[in-house]
Amino acid sequence: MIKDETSILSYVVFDEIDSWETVFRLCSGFLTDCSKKRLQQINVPSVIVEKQYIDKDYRNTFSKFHSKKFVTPTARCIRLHLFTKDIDFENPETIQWESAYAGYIILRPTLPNSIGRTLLKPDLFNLKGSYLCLCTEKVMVNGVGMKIQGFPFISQDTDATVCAQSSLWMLLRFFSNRYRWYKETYPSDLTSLVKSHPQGRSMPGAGLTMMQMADALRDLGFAPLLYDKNEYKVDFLKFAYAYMESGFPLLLGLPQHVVVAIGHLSDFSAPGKVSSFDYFKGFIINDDNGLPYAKLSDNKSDNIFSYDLSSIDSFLVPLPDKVFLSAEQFDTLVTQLLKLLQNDGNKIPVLKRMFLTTGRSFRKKALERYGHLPEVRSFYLKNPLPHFIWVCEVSEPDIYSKSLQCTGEIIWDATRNAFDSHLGLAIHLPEVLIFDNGAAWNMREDYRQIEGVKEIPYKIYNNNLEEV
Amino acid sequence: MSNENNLVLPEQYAHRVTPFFASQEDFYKNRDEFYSKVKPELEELNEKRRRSEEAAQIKRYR
Repeated sequence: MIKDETSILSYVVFDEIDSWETVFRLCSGFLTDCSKKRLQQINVPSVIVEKQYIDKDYRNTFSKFHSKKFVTPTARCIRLHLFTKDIDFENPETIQWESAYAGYIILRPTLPNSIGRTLLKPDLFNLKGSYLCLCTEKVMVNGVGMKIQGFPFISQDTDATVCAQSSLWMLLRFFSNRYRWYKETYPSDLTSLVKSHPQGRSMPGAGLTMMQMADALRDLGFAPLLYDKNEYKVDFLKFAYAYMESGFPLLLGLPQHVVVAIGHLSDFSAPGKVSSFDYFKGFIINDDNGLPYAKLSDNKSDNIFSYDLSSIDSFLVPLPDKVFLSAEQFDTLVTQLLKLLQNDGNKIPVLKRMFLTTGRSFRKKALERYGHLPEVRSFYLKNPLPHFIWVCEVSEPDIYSKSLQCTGEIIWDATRNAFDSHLGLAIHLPEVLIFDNGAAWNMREDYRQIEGVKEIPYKIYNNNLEEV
Repeated sequence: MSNENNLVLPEQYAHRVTPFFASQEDFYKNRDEFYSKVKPELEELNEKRRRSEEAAQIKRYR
């Protein structure tokens, strides 16, 4: 069924007569067969087609690049709004529309790659067992304002932008949507940023090196770190996972291509592990050549382009500028510290889970997590913590895999240099809690012990990623 | 200025003696031993970071 076919806003309900083909007819000239096949993989029952849409990102590249061509594409786009059930199109109503809203896809007149800015709910894809970085946008359709949660996606147009700019755009749009202190960045801003670190022409896009992408991020206030597989070998994915678990989307370098890792897949059914990384099964990625929320696992058949985890040769993590301690440095420090504590006769649970978070978020969660451990809760609520902390939770494999609980944690100041003589801000192990009272008062180390701590498992910290 | 009497938490948490550090002297000894062990590893990690950054200037992604 189709309503208002010739209007600016048309509504298509998929039935025996109408389907994605009807939507494609309304979007004539905007899609190649390849793009149509990509969209047909999305299973929804109804779509609003919004013609003559002015998209801020496409208008930006149109002004800076496409308009300079002899034969120019139109400056307008089409926006598709996807719904998970039939809505009352004639009588727009926020609650009904928002409950069915599954996101939008903007079609640019940039053939062959016309899929522009896109934000879709992850629920549209088969992502069971995944944990994702998500942000929220408010979308206005026909006077109805609707909130949508997802990870931004855009495909390259092969002229003004290639995969490197598209991936950078996805990463940056996530940050500007999620955190108010990052400003919105448009495709031509990225080109300008990269121009100041030139390695060849900036337009048409000839591709970027990981270092150019890092330099562009540095100019925007990030402090990115780069990891090469040849250097970190078996630990390479472990560190990528630690950053992902911390809620940082990553740029993953594949042969000649770059994608954004936006979450991870984990299977907690396997027993007998010694690290949360042992449950890791792969990444959820946004690959600008495909659809959002693709899988990248050990199995090539999980990925439409046959990439697997061994295809990743490098990665970039866009850390905030206040984080001076990296994942591998923290891993070294905490591993040695746990050995020292074990040699000293302390009971050390065998499973480790490492992540970076803010002191503020950690304290906020402490209120609910340490309900059965009043001494520990009181300590975390009253004790000042740095802006960023590295946390290594410890647990027993059975407790972790069955109920995602831990029995202690080591907390390290992430704003310290690795070479600062320091043994952590807090060492909470079953029945013991040691902390640096000196750091709290901005003075030299002064470790104290809190007595009477019980051994009661509690929920692992989870603030950085959303379980799907 | 000493932080002898400055405590984040009340007196019940004032115990300095722990299974880990018997005294402040013991703490410094432990800390120095700890850093002498981890320093070469941290230096090797710095080298890995430098070589990773060199590699990141070569491969081009399009």
